[in-house]
Amino acid sequence: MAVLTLHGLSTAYPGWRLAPLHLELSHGATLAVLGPSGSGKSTLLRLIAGLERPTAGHIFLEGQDITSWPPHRRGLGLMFQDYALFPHLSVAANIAFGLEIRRLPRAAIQRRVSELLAMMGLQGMEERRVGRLSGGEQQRVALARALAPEPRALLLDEPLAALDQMLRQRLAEELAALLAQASVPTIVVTHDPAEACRLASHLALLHDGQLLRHGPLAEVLHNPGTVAAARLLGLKTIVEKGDLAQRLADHLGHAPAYLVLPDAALTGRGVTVTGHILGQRYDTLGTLVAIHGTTVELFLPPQPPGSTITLHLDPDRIRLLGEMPSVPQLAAHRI
Amino acid sequence: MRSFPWLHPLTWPTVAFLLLFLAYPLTAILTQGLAGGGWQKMGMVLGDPVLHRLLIWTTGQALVSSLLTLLLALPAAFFLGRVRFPGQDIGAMLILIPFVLPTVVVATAFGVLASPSTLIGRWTAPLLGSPELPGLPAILAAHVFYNLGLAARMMAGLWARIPHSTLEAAATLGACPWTVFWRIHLPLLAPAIRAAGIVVFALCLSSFGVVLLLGGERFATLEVAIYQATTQLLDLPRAGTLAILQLAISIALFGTLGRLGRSPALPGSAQRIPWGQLPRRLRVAGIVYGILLLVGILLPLVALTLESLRFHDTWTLEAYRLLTKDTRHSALGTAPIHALIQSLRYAALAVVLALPLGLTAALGAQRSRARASLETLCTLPMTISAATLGLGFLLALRTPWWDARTSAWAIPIAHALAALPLVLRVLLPALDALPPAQAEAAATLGASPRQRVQRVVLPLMARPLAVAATVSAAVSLGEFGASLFLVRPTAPTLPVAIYRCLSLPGSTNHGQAMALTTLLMLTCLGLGLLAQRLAHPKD
Repeated sequence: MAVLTLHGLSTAYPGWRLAPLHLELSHGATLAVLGPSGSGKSTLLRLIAGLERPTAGHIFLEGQDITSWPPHRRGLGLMFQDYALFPHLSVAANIAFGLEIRRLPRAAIQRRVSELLAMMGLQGMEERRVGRLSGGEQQRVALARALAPEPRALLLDEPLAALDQMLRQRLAEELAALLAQASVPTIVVTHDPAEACRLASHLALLHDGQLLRHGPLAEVLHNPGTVAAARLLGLKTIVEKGDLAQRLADHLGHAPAYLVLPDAALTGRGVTVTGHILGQRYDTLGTLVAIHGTTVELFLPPQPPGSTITLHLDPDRIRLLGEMPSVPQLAAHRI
Repeated sequence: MRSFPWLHPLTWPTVAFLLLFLAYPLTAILTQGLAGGGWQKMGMVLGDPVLHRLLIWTTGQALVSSLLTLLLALPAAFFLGRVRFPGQDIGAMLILIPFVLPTVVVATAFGVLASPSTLIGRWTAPLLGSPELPGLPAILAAHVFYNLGLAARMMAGLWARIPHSTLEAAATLGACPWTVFWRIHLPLLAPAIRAAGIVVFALCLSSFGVVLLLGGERFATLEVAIYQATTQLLDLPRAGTLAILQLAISIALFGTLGRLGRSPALPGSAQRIPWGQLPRRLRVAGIVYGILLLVGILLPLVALTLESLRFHDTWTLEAYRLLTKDTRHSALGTAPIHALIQSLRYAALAVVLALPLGLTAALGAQRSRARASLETLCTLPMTISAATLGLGFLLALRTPWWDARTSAWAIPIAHALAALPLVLRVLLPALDALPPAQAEAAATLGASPRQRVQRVVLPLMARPLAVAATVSAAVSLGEFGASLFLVRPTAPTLPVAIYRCLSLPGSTNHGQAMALTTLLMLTCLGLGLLAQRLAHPKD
């Protein structure tokens, strides 16, 4: 059974709206909501946490309709993008906050706090003021604070965005391990496809208030379905309708609107096409190749511009993309 | 934060407080002022040539005071706003010292300076009191002393934000420094100059303590005339008519301030020139001006302190010893030290009233759609003159259940009313600056709205609350005008006791007044320093 079910959830601001959205989060799953800024992913988290009210739709937590519940009664853990630690409290008091609100016995609070301190590797920092902590330490305190009251689901808003690049990669692994250890169903919101892939078992792609696609990670990655979804995932080589698309389509037996050529498609067997080297991009170090009137960016050993190249593309590894869905998909997909 | 349509219930106690203790007394002045003698009496008062002279004198002294203040504050504003020099923070703090002092302290200190029989007055009295017009130069000097820091700070804020590039552009187009000052600096500064001018003019226009203590009956302003009509002539309809006039002038002035005092959009960062890069002439002028300013600020305070340490022309602590004695000739009928205790008690009550009212109003304002109207409503007590408020209390709050003349709460309530605008000015920006995320985080951790305020908002507001409490206490300790109307004869406040001691002859009364004033000055300076430390803690 799903822990969290969003049924036709939507909201609107002047000039922007979140289209009615259906999602489910099951036990043991970590769902990454991937989208650029302005896509509505943070709003989605705030709606689930109860910090904002939807204009339509329902939120079910373990079968119970919590749509109109105030945030403090929902029992969900939310970790804020800038952590929002309480500056007037120590590390231990921050973590204990949710437990004290629930009036747990002192001994139980102490046990749970030291358990979390150990889990996060924060022993010895109990009495420190949170303002004196490094970014990575703050992140772990925020996570411990959100986990302490044993929330029924955990919501993470860009958990790594406040950290610098070097720290991010290391902490992404660490966070994935901690989430696995905590075994709380989790929704994590991010704009970084690599981060989403590292943390999540399931993926939902959100663009401009529209849910483009969702499902198990591998399924979505292998078959993004639409151009917008493929772009969100960071797939760059997208071939639009044209001679090349037509040629490839002949081999595939039908004509899709768009194709994605991942590097994996350059296999040395399959369809043989001829391309002209146009030049190299210095930002991505990709080589721009014109194939049958379509410009494609490929990662090849450096070639002089103007030279001709023969490529073998494996049609089985080419991803087909449809148009953007104009009607929101109304059936709730299990993820 | 969700907006509550109109006003959030949290604001209701404050609104009720303002309606009962501000709006109701003011309407009482209006209705009784008209009903007591009717339009006829009002017309008689308004047509009286004595009143015309009173009005001309009142506005005249305010105009001269505010022009002098602006002129003398301009260099201070330049150095504080445009220049970076060592000791700048201390300078900015020193210049505001007069503003935290009660009017009674300022008036008494300038009285000492204007009296040739005192130690420092020997040299300063010829400057402050001419034989034909005793009091007038002292009144003007006290007004400048009082408001210079405020005016300088108001102008420095905007001056700091005039971009260097604008001035440099003018210079490259051929403007000499003098032309740059007249054509660029002054026009850009105009809104701040106008705003400072209006505020200082309004303060001098409703100046009560300084004029009453230094000018006496001869230099009565409208404000003093209200007091005289109430307590000496016992002519309440006349007092009411004068108060209506005062009220109309105040409202007109603050309305103008809202229209004219708006600042243009300039970049937020300060653009300051290092001291060393100033032209030599400007540096010399700055040093001379700085020394004169320092002397001007400190001299009255020093003169007062020295005077309190002298009795019968010898150095002694006798004046302080007299504070505990209820002498036969005492103006108070009780030992003066009781006035200090009484004032501290009133200050504590005023804080107890003003802080919760200000806090709930600020919390409610954040949640209300009519926030702007609420803020205006809460600044109203600032625009109402002390004598008007005191008279209003006397006229309105005389019921069988509660009488402002006999209740021990009348003065703390009036003081809380005066402190409320300042409390809100401290608390509301501090609340706005709190990131909402922390309260939201507490909500997701299970804290109810009440628990969020108790466990997150209030602890984070500890400092601003302490600042607000300190400011309220200082306002209450120094408040003179309204207290003079409401004071019970047996329980005078500190400023009222000082006034009574000063208005009677005899070295005992004089010594007691000096000692009490010095104590009041030190208390208010201490509170000012405390507020400053609390508001800007060193990291």
